[in-house]
Amino acid sequence: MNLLRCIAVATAVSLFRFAHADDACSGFKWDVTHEHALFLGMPTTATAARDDATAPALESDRLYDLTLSAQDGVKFAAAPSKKMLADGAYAGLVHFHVAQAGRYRVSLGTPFWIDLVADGKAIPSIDFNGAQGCDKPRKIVVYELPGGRDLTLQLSGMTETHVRVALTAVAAPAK
Amino acid sequence: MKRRHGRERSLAALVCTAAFHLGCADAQNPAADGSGLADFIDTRAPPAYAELTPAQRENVDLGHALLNTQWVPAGTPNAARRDGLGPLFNASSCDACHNEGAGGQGLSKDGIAPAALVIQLRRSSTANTTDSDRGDPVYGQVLNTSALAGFEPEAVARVHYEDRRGHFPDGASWILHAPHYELSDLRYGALSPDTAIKPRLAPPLFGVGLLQQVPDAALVERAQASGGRLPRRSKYADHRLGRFGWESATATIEEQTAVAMAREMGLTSALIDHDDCTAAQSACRHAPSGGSPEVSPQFMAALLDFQKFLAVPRTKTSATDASALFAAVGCEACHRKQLPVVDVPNITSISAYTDLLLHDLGPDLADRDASGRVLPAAWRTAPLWGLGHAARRPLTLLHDGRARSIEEAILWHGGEADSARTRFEQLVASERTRLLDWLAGL
Repeated sequence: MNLLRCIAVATAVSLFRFAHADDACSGFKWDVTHEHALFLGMPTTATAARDDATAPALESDRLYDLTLSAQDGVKFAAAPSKKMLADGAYAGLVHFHVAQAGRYRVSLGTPFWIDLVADGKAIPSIDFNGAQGCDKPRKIVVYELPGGRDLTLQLSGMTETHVRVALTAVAAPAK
Repeated sequence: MKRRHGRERSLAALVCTAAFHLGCADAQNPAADGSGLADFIDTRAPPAYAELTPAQRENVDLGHALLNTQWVPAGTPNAARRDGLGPLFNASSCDACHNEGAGGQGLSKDGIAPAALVIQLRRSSTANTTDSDRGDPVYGQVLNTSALAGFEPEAVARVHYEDRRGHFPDGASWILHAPHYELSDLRYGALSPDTAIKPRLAPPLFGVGLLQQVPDAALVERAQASGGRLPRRSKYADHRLGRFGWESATATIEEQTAVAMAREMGLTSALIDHDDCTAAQSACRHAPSGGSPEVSPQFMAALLDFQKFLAVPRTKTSATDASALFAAVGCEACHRKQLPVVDVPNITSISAYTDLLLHDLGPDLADRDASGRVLPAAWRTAPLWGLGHAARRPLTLLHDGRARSIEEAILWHGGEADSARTRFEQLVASERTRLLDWLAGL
């Protein structure tokens, strides 16, 4: 049991090592300066819920460190849209609310599978990108989000017990 | 060696039940029209090219889930069915490089090579011998750029691009994106000077089940008629002719999958029972195992079935037919429209636009060894079917993703394709556009 606990703690810290380089976070295909700056800051800690009804409300443009629960005990608002084995996985749900409709990014320090759910249906992502060797962030998914709606962010599939996450608005291109 | 579990059947049932409730089964859109193509209505539910029996559907769904699954380190709690990753690897899931069956995405600018752009290593002194599977004596077959905690990645691979400018005879300009590879932080010292550095972007999986069914005799016949080189024969698959990978190094989906899992994910299978750890990598060789093999035969069978039945995306296009122009330019000499297939219900030939033979495309595309020497090149004619689907995202074509458009890909052709490229350059602009638009609709 102690051994298992040690493994779990080690797992929470870092499963993988990548070929780190100073420029690892420059690998994104977009400008992610803002997200990178957020991930360099101190996160707000929160516990992701095991169901939609009790999911905590998070604010956009802020970095969170979420504690997750064993996925087999999580009831999703919509089934994860990617079929995969989830043995030993951790998962959780949080809420976001964006006032303005528009393009947003969900940034993750660990490449969990995510779905953004509105009214029980997953909103299709419009793009994604990742940077191997970078965890500030590691993965970004882009959505076109409706304004004034409660959104559920679902995280699933990975065996880490924590994940850092932030929702940011994508600046409109300069005219 | 380690425990293997008997729960795969229940998992398959679970996945299929979930798929049913999600409506995924309805989205599969089986397309048994005899073309091997299908409409990809939902890219997260890539369809089969044939009507499947319930048992086949169950296995294909399981295979799809396995394609997406993140493999984890040996001993991860409650994850015994998907453990055994690494310790050295490039990606932790098949999907990381073959997103829903698509090919990998290369770089659009200077940067660290993404997981889907793998640096393969071969002893160049053995390139033309039957022992061409020999990798670098220290680093092995693939430069693994990731590692589990407690291990060190083998290196960092960066790509730098240099603009190469030119003009068509009609004055229109073009810019090619010539890559230069920089390997740094080499954990075990320098590569052997005669190790070939072979950057390879993950190819699409669409239609591989049909390419597998092209009989060897058709390749032999075509080679005799055209002068294209026959791929080497597989040591794993009854000496069948190779047809998968950028150089047709493997003959079957199983061989290709097992090789990728062993070398790029550190996962053993019944076909390949060892990772890409060399004698010089003692810690790697003695890392904990996720079982023997790490990918169970049932899981491997499901992964193979998913690929075997995976359709090629049909592109809705309004482009005018330019197949005659394609032939007149000379592209069709190698990108043959039709190939026969055997033992596929309702399908006797496929329009893959490849001859599955090997061709020298000149020094600009050729690999170099660690000492910088340009090596002889023999590329499999890349199938062109599904190009329209690939064009949904920024294109990164050719073996290392250097070509940002179909036009750039054509302009990189040299060697045996030199005359075809020249004829393409000599087309008037409207004809070039017509040809490119048609290709983008394949």
